[in-house]
Amino acid sequence: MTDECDGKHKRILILVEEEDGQIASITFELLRAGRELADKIGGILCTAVLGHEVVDIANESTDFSDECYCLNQILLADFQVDLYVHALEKLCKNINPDIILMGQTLDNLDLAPRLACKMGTELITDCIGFDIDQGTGRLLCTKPIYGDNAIAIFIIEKKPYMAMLRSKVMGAIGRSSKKGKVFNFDPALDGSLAKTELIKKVTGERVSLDKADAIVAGGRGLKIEGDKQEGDKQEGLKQLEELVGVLKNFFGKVEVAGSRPLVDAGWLPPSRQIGLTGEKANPQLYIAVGISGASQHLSGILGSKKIVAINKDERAPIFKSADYGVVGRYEDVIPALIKKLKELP
Amino acid sequence: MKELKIIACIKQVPDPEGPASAFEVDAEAKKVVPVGISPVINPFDENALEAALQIKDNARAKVIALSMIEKSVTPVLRKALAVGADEIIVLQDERFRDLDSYSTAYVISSAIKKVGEYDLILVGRQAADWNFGQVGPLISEFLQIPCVSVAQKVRVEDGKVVGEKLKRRGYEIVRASMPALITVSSEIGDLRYASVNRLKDARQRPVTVWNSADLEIDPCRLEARKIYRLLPSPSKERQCVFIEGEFPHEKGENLALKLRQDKVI
Repeated sequence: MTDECDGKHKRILILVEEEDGQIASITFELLRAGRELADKIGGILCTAVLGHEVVDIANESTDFSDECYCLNQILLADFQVDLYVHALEKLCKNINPDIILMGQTLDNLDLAPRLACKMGTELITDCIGFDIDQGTGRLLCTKPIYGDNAIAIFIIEKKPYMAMLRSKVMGAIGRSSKKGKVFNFDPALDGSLAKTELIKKVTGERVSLDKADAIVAGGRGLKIEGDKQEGDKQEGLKQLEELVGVLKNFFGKVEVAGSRPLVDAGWLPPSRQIGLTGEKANPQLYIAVGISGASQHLSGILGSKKIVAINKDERAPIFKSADYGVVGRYEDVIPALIKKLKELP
Repeated sequence: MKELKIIACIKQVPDPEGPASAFEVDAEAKKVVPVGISPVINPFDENALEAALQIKDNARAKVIALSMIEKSVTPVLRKALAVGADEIIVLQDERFRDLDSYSTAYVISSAIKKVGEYDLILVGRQAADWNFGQVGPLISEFLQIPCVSVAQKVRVEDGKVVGEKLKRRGYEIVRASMPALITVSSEIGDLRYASVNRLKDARQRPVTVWNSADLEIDPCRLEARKIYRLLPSPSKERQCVFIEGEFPHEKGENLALKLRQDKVI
């Protein structure tokens, strides 16, 4: 298809993510990881843009990449995994990338393993860093394991090397001096390939914890207190929301969030879950209320500038990972904190 | 309606709720050695088992728990019987030690083929040990069946499976014909409790054990995880300044003052 597609060039393919009609931030992190690898192997940095009416996104992606493959198809308007797998498989067989990188997103957890299976290769998910093994030229993928209690570096032996990048572990790429080229690619999709049928989309609130300047998060401690006094269950949550309100005097974007137990109990939507299986955030200020501090939770907040822990259990592990600690019942501490914050000039 | 056959895949892992110190890194053996913590069923697989049992609560269904393990069957896996699974099949072979995700999915899908007819496969969205999250979708690829990934709810309706597939914001209601595979997220709810008596009974119940020779698998296709290096996690510790005060509300006020003093706010 393209002049460059002659097998001489090594390609690194980045799957572009879109959010609210724009390129999502994880994409810029992927592009940075991809550019570093491209420089190491003397390869070309490419993007794949899948969707409907995505021409602008495809164009914008070439501010950061050498080539963009644009799969602008009505059948790709919604994420239907079978169609996405098929489209990407077609593209990959055509351009033969050496490396494929995707963001660690819920949709990609569906897509990437199946694409890897079809391509006869392996996939390493949830990576925090990449390198090239000097001896073999193979891709090394650094990945936290055992709930972030250890780190493994995997070596992928089969091409294309495929990996998923955790968000917020890498900085964003800057614009290239040279704009890349856009190539349209038609994967010849057939709607009957879809094995699942979308009945209804239930859109959640537009929350982006990864863009918050300050976060107030609650954990099991709130739930236990809430369970004791049924009926008044979400009193703790109200306090957190009030604290969020006051913090808005000091920070631009302030959000309420929770650890997994609180989300599983239905107190907050999954989009507000911080941690290994939730969002990754790096706010200026993170206030953890009634959160014990399991490593699975900490993995979502490692980049936070300052961490405050409020917990009545002085032995809670969260204090080891906090910059400021308050040992006490949050019901007593938070109202006083709110009152004083309101008084601050 | 005919009886549904549901297979719930469960994996035994070291208790992920254990403290960081419980996960010792043996860099030379490239292994994580759990210290002082008990094995448990992977919590997300417990969610998958719960989803299976919820379907069984409302319909005629048989639930088979399926697990792959390199050593002998443990009381941990028998918990599945105690909470309401009708049968447990354990794939047990030294050859199944340290397999990569692809090989794991290969072995499990071979076992599912041996089970024969089935309607649903439920799998936790990821395991708490290696956190890959890809065995479920890989099984669906091996078996060429529809896959609904990371579902917060599952139900069977008019002979089809309906799942609520989590999105970054909100969710999608997705329908597929059966047989199908669903990967289950923790939002579905915790696994129900097993009474002491049922746990005791479960110890007496028979367990089906299949080894690699019982399955139609090519041992040459079994590959181990390729680990280049294994390291301890970098320290997440910070120097914590404890806010003092005679009463909790004083601490709250002092926290505000300290944050201001340090120009955090």
